[in-house]
Formats: sequence, C-alpha cells, structure tokens
Amino acid sequence: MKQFKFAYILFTLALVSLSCEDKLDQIQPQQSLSDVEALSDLTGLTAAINGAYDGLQNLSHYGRNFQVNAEIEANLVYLSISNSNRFVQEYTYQWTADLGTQTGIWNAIYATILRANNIINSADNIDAATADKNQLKGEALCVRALCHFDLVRSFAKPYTQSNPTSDLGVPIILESKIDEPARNTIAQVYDQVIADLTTAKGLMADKSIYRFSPNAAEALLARVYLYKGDFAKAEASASAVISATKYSLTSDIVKAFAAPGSSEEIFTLKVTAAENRGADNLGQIYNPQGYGDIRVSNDLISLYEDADQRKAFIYKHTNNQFYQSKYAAQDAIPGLHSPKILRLAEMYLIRAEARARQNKFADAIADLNTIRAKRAASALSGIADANVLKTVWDERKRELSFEGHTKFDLNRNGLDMVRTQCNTGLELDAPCTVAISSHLRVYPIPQREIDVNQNMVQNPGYAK
Amino acid sequence: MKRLSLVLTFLLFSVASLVAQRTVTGKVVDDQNEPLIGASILIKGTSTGTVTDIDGSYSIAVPAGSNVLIFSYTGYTSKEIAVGTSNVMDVTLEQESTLLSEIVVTGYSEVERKKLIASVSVVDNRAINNVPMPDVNQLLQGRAAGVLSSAPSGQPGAQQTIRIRGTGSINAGRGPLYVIDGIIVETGNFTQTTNSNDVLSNLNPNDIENVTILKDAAATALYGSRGGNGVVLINTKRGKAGRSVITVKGQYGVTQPNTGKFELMNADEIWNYERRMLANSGRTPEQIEAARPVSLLNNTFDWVDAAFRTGNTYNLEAQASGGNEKTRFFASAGYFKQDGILIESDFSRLSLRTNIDHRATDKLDFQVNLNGSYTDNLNAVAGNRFASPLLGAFVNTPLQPATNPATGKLYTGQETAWTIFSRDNFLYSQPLNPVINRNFRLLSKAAMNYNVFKGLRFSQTAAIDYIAVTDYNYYDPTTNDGVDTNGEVDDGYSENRTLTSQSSLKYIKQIGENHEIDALGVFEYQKVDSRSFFASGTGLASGKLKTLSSTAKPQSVSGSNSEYAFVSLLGQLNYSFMSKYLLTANVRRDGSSRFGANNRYATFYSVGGSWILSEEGFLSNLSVLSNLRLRASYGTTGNAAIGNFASLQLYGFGASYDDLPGSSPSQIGNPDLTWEITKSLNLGLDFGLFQNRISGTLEYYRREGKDLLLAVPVSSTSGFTTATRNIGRIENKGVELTLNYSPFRSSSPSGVNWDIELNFTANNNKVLELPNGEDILNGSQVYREGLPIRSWYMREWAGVDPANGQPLWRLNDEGGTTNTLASAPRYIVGNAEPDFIAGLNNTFTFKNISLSAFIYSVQGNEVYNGSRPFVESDGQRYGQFNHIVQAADAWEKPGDIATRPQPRVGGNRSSNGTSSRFLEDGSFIRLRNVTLAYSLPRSIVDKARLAGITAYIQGQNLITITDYSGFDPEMSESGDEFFRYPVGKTLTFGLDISF
Repeated sequence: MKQFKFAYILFTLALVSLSCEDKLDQIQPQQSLSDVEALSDLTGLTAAINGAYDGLQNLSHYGRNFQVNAEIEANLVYLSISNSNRFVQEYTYQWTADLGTQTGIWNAIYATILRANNIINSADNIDAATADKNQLKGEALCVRALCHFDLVRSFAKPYTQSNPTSDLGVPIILESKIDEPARNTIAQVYDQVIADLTTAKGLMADKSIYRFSPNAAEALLARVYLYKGDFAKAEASASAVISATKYSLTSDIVKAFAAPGSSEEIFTLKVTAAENRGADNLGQIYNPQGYGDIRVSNDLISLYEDADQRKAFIYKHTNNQFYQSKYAAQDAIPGLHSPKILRLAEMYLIRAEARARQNKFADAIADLNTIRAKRAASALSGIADANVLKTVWDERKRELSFEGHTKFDLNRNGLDMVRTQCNTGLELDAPCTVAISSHLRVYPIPQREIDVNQNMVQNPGYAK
Repeated sequence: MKRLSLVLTFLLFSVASLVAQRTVTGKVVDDQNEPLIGASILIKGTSTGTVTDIDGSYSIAVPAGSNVLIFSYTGYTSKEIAVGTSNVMDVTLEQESTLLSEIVVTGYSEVERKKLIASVSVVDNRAINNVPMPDVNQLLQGRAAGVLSSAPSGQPGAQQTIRIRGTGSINAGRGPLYVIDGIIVETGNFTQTTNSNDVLSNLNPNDIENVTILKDAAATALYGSRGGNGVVLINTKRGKAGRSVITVKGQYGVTQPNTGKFELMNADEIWNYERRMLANSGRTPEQIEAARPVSLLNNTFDWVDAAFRTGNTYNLEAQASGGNEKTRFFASAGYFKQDGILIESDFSRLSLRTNIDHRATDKLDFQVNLNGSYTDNLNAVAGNRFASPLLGAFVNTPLQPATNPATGKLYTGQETAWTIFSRDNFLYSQPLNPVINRNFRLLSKAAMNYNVFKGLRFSQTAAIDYIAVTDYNYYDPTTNDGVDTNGEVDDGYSENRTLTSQSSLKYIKQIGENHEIDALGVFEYQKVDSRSFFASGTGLASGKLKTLSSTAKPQSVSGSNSEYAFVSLLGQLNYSFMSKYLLTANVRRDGSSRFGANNRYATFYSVGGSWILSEEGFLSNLSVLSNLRLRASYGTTGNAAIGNFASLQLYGFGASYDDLPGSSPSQIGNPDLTWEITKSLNLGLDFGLFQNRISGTLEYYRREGKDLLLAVPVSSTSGFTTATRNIGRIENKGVELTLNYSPFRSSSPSGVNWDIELNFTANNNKVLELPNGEDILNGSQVYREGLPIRSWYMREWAGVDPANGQPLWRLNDEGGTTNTLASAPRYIVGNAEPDFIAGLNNTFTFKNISLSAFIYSVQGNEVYNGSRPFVESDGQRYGQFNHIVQAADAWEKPGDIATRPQPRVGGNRSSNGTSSRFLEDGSFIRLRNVTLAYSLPRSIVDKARLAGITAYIQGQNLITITDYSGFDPEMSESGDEFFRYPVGKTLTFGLDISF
C-alpha cells in the first residue's frame, strides 16, 4: 500500500515536470500582437491607420500642447498671473533644451511617424484589393507628411528665413528602426513632405472629412508651399481645393465650432466623447471652468468689428477678463474639441497671401472679402497695395486665432513677436518683444535626443 | 522535531519491560513554573522513555539497575538526574540561554542557528504582534540589519517599499521576494485606478510567528532568478501539543497627525504677505486694496485643521491553539480597523486563519494552511490630485472660506465666489467621491511529507494564492471631478491566481561520528494568471445612485489577461565535519516565460562555509568566549521582475480613432532579454561573550548586479524613448552589525532584566556601468557611473542677491552665478541614499511589568521637499496656494542677506524652480514604539481560572528628532516628497486575555 502511494506520488511528479517544460513557450500576450502578425492583413492595417490618427491626438500634439504652444508663444493670448503653472516657460520664453512640452512634441510626433511608416511599408505586402491598400498607404503618407512638417516648422528655422539647402531640419524617418539619425536639411524635409503628399493624392479616395483625402492632401500642400515661399504653387493648390464643390464657407462660424462636421472642414481630427481627457481637454486651458489660464489679449480683440461673427468667440468673464469659446464644449463635454486641422477659410487665406506676394492685390482682397462676407464683417476696400499683405495677416488672426497658426505665421514671415498688451499686471511677467533674430524662435532639439544620438546637432543659441 | 519523532518511535515500538522495576512520576516545568508539555524523559543507556502530558506530568517505569533519567525539551537545557529514593521527581528545565539552538527557516529547508552559514535576520513575533499597523512591512522597519523599509504614503494599508542590502536594480523590480510558509507569493499593488494598496496588508501581523530575511547568496540562491533582491520569509504560527489556549485580544488607539516643523500661514499672515507681494510688484495702493481688501479677513478658514483629524484604531481578535501528539492546530479570527488622520481615509481587515499539522503515521504527516482575508480601504488619494484633502489643505488659502456665508452651505467649488483654481472644495467633494478598493485574498497550502526510509523524506506541496481586487471611484455630478461628465462611476476588478507545486526529497545521513550530510532536491512549478477589467460610465441622474447601471453613458471598457510561469529545479548539499566545519552548496535552474526565446533558462548557484572557532580546542579554555564563528559565502541570483512579455516586439490595441479600434507599436522586442544577475559575497562573524550576555554578528557584503534589465534611452526618432536591454552594472556594499547585550540578567524570574538589541547598517550604493557610459536622467535624479543610484541632479541654489532680492543659481565652477534659472546648469548636489540606518530596542522586565522602547534612525539622506516650491513659491503661486510661515522671512531692501528672494506676484524669476534650494537633510531619529505591559500575577490569574491577562499601553512615533522642514521625514524610496500622506502619532491601549 505504502509503496503504491509512493509510486503514485512519483508518477504525479514526473507528469507535472514533463507537462510544464514547453508551457513556457505557449504563454503569449493577450492584449497585444507581435508586429508581424499585427501588420499582416487588411484588418490589422485598418487598425494601424486608426492608431496613426490616434497618434495625432496625443496631448503633446494636436491633443493640446502643439496647438497651445503656437498661441501662447505668440501675441493673441496671454497667460494669467493666476495660473495652474502650465505653459509658463512657453509664455515667458524661458526654456532650455529639456523643456517638457517641447520634448513631448518631438517624441509624440516621431511615435506617430513610426505608426505611419509601418503601414506605408507593409501595405504592399498584404493580401487585399489594390484600392484598399492604396487608401491605407495614402492616408499614412499624409499622416507622415503632416508629422514631418510639424517637426520642421517647430525645430528648425523657417524655410523662408534660412538657407534651406544647408540649414538643418529634422531627421526624415521612413522606416522603423532604432538608430541615431542625423538631421536632414530643411529643404530635404520639405521635399519629402511634398513628395509624400503628392504621392498620397493619387492613391486615396475621399472617404470622410475625418480622414485624409485627396483634397486634404492638396490643402496641406497649399500650406506647405506657402511656408516654403512657393507662392504660385500655394495659390494653385489652394485654388484646387476651393474649386472642389464639396466644401463651402459656413455662414455661422460659431455654430461650426460647436461640433465637428461643418461644411468648411477639409480634414478634422475627430475626438469623440469617449476620448474625454477631463481637465486636459484642449479647451480647458482656455475655459474659466477648466484651468482658464490662457485669456484673450486686447491685441486680438481690437482687430474685430463689433458685427464680426468671430468676435462672439471672445467673451468677458465675471473677473472682467476676456476668454475665448472656440473650444468651449463638444458633445456637452467642456473643453472637448475635434481640431479642424484643415478648413476652407484657411485655403482662401493662403491664396490671398500667395496672391498678395505675387502682387495680385485685388484678387487677394477679393479672397478676404469672400470670408468676411460669411462672417458678417464689412467688405474691405481702398487698401493700399503696400498694406495688403498686412491686411491678409490681420484677417488670418481674426479667422484662425487659437487654431495653432499664430506663432508659425510670425516665423515664416520673419516678423518679431510683439505683445502690445504686456506686463499690465493681468499677465505673467514676460518679454513684450521677441525678435525674429532670437534663437528662441526655434525650439531646441530636446536634450534627451542630443544625449542619446551622437549624430544630432543642437540648434544655434542653445547650450551644447 | 527529530527528538519528538524519536520519542514517538519509542512510544510506538517499545515493549514494556517485564523485569523488576519501579514507577517514577513527577512534573516537568519551566523556570516560570509553567508545565512543559511533551518534554521527553529517557532512561539513560536505554531506548526507553516517555513524554509529559498536558499538565507536564509523566510516569515512567524504571527497571532495576537504571538510575539516571534524562529530561529534555526543545529550546531548554537537558538535565540528567539520578533517581534517588523518592518515586516522585519534579524537574525544572531552564531555557537555553543562547539563540544557537533556535531553528531558522531558510525557505526550502530549516537549520539550527549554530549551523547557519548564510546571512539571515530573524524578526520574531515580539516585534510584530500587537503593533497597531496593518502591514508587516511597516513592522520590519529598523528591526533587522540590512533592511530599509520606507513608506511612500502614510495612508493606512498603503504599499511599503522594502530594500534589502541596497537598491540592486535600476529598471527591474527592486523589492524582495516574499515567501509565506514556504510558498512564493505575489506582493505589491494590484489596483487599476486607485493607488497605493499593498496586498500584503491582507495578512494579519498577529498571525505571524516570525519573519526571516535572507540576505546573501548562500540563502537566496535557492530562489534563483527571483532571489536577487533578497527574500522575506513570513512564517505563521502553528499549534503546539498540549492544553488548548484561547486568547482574546482587544486594542484601541488614537492617532494624531505628526506635523513636524511644518506650519502654514494663517489668514492674517497670508493677507499681509500677499499685499507685500503686490507692493513689491509695483502695484499702486489702490490696486493692492482692490486685490486684497481688508474685508477678506472677515471670513477665513483653517484648511489644514479641516483636512486632518484624530484617527482611531481598533483591533479585536481571537486566537486558539493546541493539539496532541497527532494533530496540532492554530486558528485565529481578527478584525482590524484604522481610520486615517486625513479625512475620508481608512482601512479595515477581516482575517481568518487555520493552520493544522497532522501526523497520520510515523511515516506520513500532513500540513494544511488556510488563510482568508478581506480588506476594505477608503483612500484619500494624497498627492497629485486637486480633490485630495492633503493637496487641498495647502492649495486652499485661508482667505477662502469653506462655506458660503449667505447660505451657510459648503461651497462646491463651482461658484464664482470660489477663487481657487482647483475649483474643488474637498470638504464638500471628498465625502461624496469615495475612492475605495477591496481586496480578497485566499492563501492556502497543503503539504504531505513521507519518510521513505530513515533519513529520506519526500514532500509534496500544493498551494493556491488567490487575490481579487476591486477598485471603485465615484465622482458626484456636483463636484469638480464630476461636473464635466455629469457624474462618473469607475469600477474595476482584477484577479490574480498563483498555483504552486513543490516536490522535494530531503536526505540526512550521519556517517561515522564526524560526518553529517544533508541533501535537498526540489522541483517547483509556479504559474500566475491575472485578469482584469475596468469599466466607467458617465452621466448620473442623481448623486444618490452610485453604480455603473445608473450611468447614462458607457464611457470606457477595458480588460486584460496576462500570465507567466516559472519552472525550476533546485538542490542543496550541506556537509558538516566534527560539527565545526560546515559547507553548503546550492544550485537552482529556472525557466521563465518572461524572457526571450534565446535566453529562457539560467542556472544560479552559491557556495558557503562556516568555521566554528569556539569549538576548537585552542579556544575552549577561554571562558569568556561562549561562541565564535566565521562564515563566508559567494554566489549568484537573478532578478526576473520585469513585464510579463518584455522580450516581445508588440503591437498594442489600446488606441482608437473615431470610435474605431486602433493599434500602435507598444514595445520594441528583444529576443535576447534575460534575467539580471546578482553576484554576492558575504563575510560574517558571530560572537558571544560571557555566556552570551553579549552576542552579535558583524557582516560585510558586496553584491553586484550585472546585465541590468535597463530601459536604455534610445533616439525617439525610432518612435520609442527606451528599449529594454541587459546592460549595466550596479554595486551595493556595506557593513551590518547586530548586537545583543543584557546589562542586567536576573537569576530569579521576578528580578530585573534589561536587554538591549542594536542593529546598524551602512550601505554604499554605486552605479558601475551604463550603456556607453552615458548618464540616464531620472527626473531630478541621474544615473551616472560612479555615483549612487539616487543622486540628485539639479540646479544649485546660490542664495539671494543682496542687491535686488533676486534668486541666484550656480553658473560655473569659477564661482559665477546667474539669476536666470534656464541658464544655470545642473550639478550633482547630493543623494537620497542614507549613510546608515539603525534600530535600537531596550526591554526592561521587572516582576510582571515589561517596558520596551524602540528607536529607529535614518541618517545622511538628502530629501527633495517637492511641496515647498508650492508653499514657498515667493509669490509664483500667488492667490493659489498658501505659504509656510517662514516664507515671510524674505529679502526686503538692498543689502539684506536673506535666504528667500523678494516675494512678487507671479514669482521672482522662477525662484521656486527645481533646485538644491529645496533639498534638505532627511536624517531623523524616531521613537518608533514604546510599550508598557503588565501581566496579572499568576496567583490572581489562577483564581480566575484563566491562563493569563496582559494589559499594555503603546505609543508609536511619539518623538521625532529631525531638521527636515516638512511634515514627516519618513520618505519614499526616491527621497522625493510631494504632498505625502504623513504618518501619525498613535497611542493605543490593549488587553490580551488567555483561557
């Protein structure tokens, strides 16, 4: 009996030992897939392209910081003396190469580029209809182009203020690998962006305003050409989008900003109620019910006529300061907003500026008046040719304020950043002028990148 | 154990002698006159014997010609007594005065202390039982050399961090392996959204017999790939044969906040201070009057006072133990509840335990442990959350009243009259928005041991550790955290199941007189499955219904499954020659699913030896020397504490766009990834003088971690910021001293006894090698070759410019300074590693009174007081945060030599930016525990037919000596304070009644 028991035990033991040997290999993750599996079919790549758009929504990028930095580092808004300690260094231009938001922008955008690259490089290998593959590839190319463009306009000198073929841009990343890439020149980055968008245009069909489409690629091209100073092409691309019948300027811009999907949106990054970030929703940095740290400067308010619909975005709070409501709420969630990355009004403004630069002053004013008519603002007339360009720029401020253009517009036009409402006691003490010559007008390459990448070169003016 | 089995053998197989004999009877007692149950009585020169019964009585037939009886009992000095004329022999056995015969459990085996080669600390139940703290980790603090226990939060039930012999890893786990009654268990925090909850707090400390800490490779190598950070063995109480004893314990205590040197401004002070700031910033008197009118002082509020309260601690439990030669049991049921010193925080635990030992035959015995426990934790979410009462106590200026004077109701924080940016009044929101987690844990084990033949023992153990954790958050629609979503309910559930199977063979053989060998072989398989889900919903019709079902909109649903497994084979060989020269060799081969396919299996080993010098002839004449031993060991262990799938290149599916599922690369793969290796050397000296009135242990150790599982920073152009690789080395070396001294040792039980126990640890931590020798930044700290792992790396404060009151930071090595924070480079300005830690315990006993005082000290660590930049912001937090009283002592006019810059609205040139200005000496000495106990005299107890009554008063943390300016110098491991939940001062009264 005892011998039997003992034998039984030994048998059990042997069984257990044999059975677990190969179990170690069988254990696989259940929330993730290996990259090979994840990118092996249409379903996988469809999820991956959604992941790429999701990347654009990162808090550091279009989720908030990239958008807000472009405003707080400029002159249409100010940071209240009473604040939650967000965007302080950005507003006061006190940063070194280790600033969190700037490092975050760099990291987030390259993470999205990886997501796009994996699609671009896998799309041809899957078993699916060519149209489907091309659609995925086209959208991913657009995402990659937008990302490279946002990087180069943040971390390198403006194309028009540099020697683009020798001044450094950012590393162009076209495939996924751990590497220490050097910076490409500004011109190379622009060429890559333009090439990606041009290729993408021919691959996609128009699926939705919430995804990249041929028109969205064209619209982004218009903006890239404008930044590049290639005004003829900027005009042509803008005209191509304007002539597309799909879009029209809305006659109620306030309503258009209450929800995504208005008639003038070309590409909107949809943020759904499920993606509610609470206090970190884009609008909450502006809304007094949120952080409410960023308020509207008189530098902008003074630009509007009273009847102008767009003035309605600006309102006086109980503390007698002015706040803006473009991102007040969406789906009744305060501060939630789907950024309208490309919209028709910008195309008119691009064309107006491109035309003004090509001395087509009357056409430029006509484009502005097209917008102004829809915004219930009086038509412009009698503008001296010498003032047309500045008139375009003022209209851009009126139309595109808070939408992440202001700083870049100053940069590409070689303008000093001048705050007229400055250090009055309402705002945090900050410089009232940052000259275009200041090294601070270009972000430093994040210090962590310099530390880990021996081929990385810091921008002028920043400690090595 | 051996002796007991011997006795049993005699009982079962001895045949009554039929020769002429007489019967001797009597009683065996200890020096307290307590009966010794199961003491053995052997007729010298024969194999005949008996054991005492429940009253300590015995009866033995002594054959003619035999005239000496041997009385023995484990832990007591044996006595040989000649049988005289009387047939009654009452014997008193004395407890062995040394620790040497103590059995030390070393995990897979147990060993007599005098045969111990490894470096092991034992914390016995006197230091653990009846202390009003929920988590055994807290009770280890200062009790064992080489162990640093720290608390990131003083919230009852919060997770503690334990480091054994320093920090041995950078990115992989740094905590020890926990083993409860021989089974490796999961520890740590299993919550999803609520924070800082330790499943180890489910274990009732009063059920613990002792805690053994394994420190060197000779002990930890048997734990192989998981032993690298040391092992904490928790052994629970087991029954003893004899009369059943039932003990009822009751305890009640009060806890008050320990505010240290910290004091915030009152309403008058902050009002004056802010007016001064406004004036400094050039505001006109009219503007100042408008911003801070005197009318503000009509309605003020003390927020700190409102955030803290006096907490209560209750403990009620019953323990029973007893049994006979065949079956022994220990059972307990307990209820513990502790209210935190911060409002809306508490912890309660219900625990049940049954430990049963049963000897079926002389060859077969069984052991069953069953422990179920349930904890309920209400969390005040200290730290980085606006709704936290702790942050609120500092954020909210006293100029902001809590209640609306017009309505008499609490502000919700949403009113325009509420001026604080957090838009939250914690007095209103905290009671409405509970953060709760509940843990259920079932820890059970069954073991069967079979003596195959003399010397060979086979054991099979199976164990289940089941942990279920629920998280619950509720945000009322009227509070700031719920107003955006119109109320929110978050509900999470996770469960974690660990199955363990251990099969072992142990062989003991005595060869001749001088050689003793024991060998152990174990096969172990452990599999851990965990699964969780989490759901949240928003939009609540009413704050009265607080479940997911009452939410209008599902907000998010997530869930995950994960598993890992270890397959291990281990062996140990011990050899003893003449009981003077001891050798041990250990080996363990581990395989784990966590590691890359290329490196899934690894082998760990250790060797050790000990020389008992005091047994040598040349020293045996030295009467002062009662014990002298040298020990040495060397070996390797591993650290496998990384993510379950860290080796794989993965795509995660957590992303979404436009409510469609999305995927993204979530991890860079590394098929070569494997364990960290820790090589450790240990040298030890044990000594005892004057019959061990002075005894102690001095140890030197060096452990080097190599192939560290390091999150190596990579260029983020790859889309990732780090990649996990086996690279880098780290070293900990140090000295540990344990000293026991009895200045008074009375010969009579009612005399004065005084015992002193001291332990001291000095650890030196150093990073030896990093990828390419490059620094790795870790917040305000840096990993740099040649420096301790927690080296502070920040701008160096250079004081205040006497000319203009502006802040200055060091600019260069030539004495240059700058008033621009951004221009100042960062320097190494200290580190958070203590120079040494020490624990000192004094115990006095006199008659029925005992008094013990335990002092704990940490010295030489620098702490970054990250709360000060908020409450000493020189005005940067104007109107938002209150300031400390000392903030008013600031620069005022040119020529002032000040420690604080001129306060200005919006701050003075970022003077509160991270710099060494807020780095402080974190050293402290704390009177951790004082206990005064009184046991009723036996005469009274006996009359009441009780076994004993003990009453005690206990004080925790009554006195703290420190220069630290914050609430509480007990710091998280990183040495980084940020509105940490402080530990309190506790006074408890307890009563133990035994039947």
